[in-house]
Amino acid sequence: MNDTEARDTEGRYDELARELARLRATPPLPPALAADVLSALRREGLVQAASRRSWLGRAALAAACVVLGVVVGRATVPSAPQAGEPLQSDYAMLLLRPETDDPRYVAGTPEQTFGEYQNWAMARGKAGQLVLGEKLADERLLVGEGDRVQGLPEGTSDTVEGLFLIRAKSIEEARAIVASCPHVLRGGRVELRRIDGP
Amino acid sequence: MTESAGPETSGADDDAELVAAFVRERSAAAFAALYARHAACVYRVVWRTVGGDDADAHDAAQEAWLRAIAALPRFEARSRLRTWLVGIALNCAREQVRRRVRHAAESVDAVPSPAARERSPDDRMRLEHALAALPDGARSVIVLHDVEGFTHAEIATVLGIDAGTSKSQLSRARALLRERLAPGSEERR
Repeated sequence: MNDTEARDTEGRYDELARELARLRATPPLPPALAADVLSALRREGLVQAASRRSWLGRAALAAACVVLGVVVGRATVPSAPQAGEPLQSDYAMLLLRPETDDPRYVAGTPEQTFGEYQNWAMARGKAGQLVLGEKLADERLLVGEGDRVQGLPEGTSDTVEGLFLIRAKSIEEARAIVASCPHVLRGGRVELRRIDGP
Repeated sequence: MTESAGPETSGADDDAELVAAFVRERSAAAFAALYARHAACVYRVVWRTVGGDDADAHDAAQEAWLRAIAALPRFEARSRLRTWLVGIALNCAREQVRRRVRHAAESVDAVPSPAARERSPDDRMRLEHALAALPDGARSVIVLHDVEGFTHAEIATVLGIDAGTSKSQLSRARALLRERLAPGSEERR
């Protein structure tokens, strides 16, 4: 609402209307609502059930972004710390699907998603925080559980979709890097593991 | 997902494309695009209509989206999509309030109205409480116009009244709100 509209019927400036306009900032949209609505829509058959194809497409896209991370990361591999600088550790970021359907995970065009990952990977690369990324093939072999599994099994949320290797001075810094990753911002999960090296 | 800044930036062309994409695909991604654009406004209107109760707002918003998505193929774009969605949401929220009132009347442990809950000295909360205590029609008009920035023509569509009535109801609603916010009004009631 602009200032003109914020004048009351008597034509005088209405501070109350300005206060009311500020209420538009609240309340925030509950994060769980989107997933609840989507689940309800699927139960009612109003939205197609999660298809293996859509998840695979997203997984392939994430993998492509990881490849991008490799390029950026290898071009800007962090240099060894100088004397007096705190030691850094490498951390593995294992990209996992959301535990439940999350519309954010499949929102936007592939180009938009790619752009988000691209910007993130480039920024981390420039900051010397990205060591490498690896594309994980869809083909999996579950050793000890029988035959080779072709592709990503539908409905599993524990499948690693991609891998980044980042470098940070502490677990807190690594956590902050992960928190900024578009995979997390889109509802995906990341298992963060420090590389247990010297 | 983020929402556009407000109704004035909610382009009808973009909405038409999003609606067409959803009707064509019925995909989660197409729904997500619609949701991202309008969910915050829908939730705010619902939340204020049910008097600020988070659980009721959640239920009413969910029901509103279910009804809206079910009816989306029949959306004829006579109004903006957001106006249409808010109309559905308002109905769901009012039904939720009626259910709550009915349940409270039947229950020994009647649920206090949100406006009667713990008062906060914070000005924003005081304003929210005063809004919640307004009569339903007055609250709807002032929330849609002064909070959400709807025009009187859009409010007329949402509430099924004419634009002149919307203007006069807004004037009355503002007067009532000022009265409730006036110093000492708590003690007088």
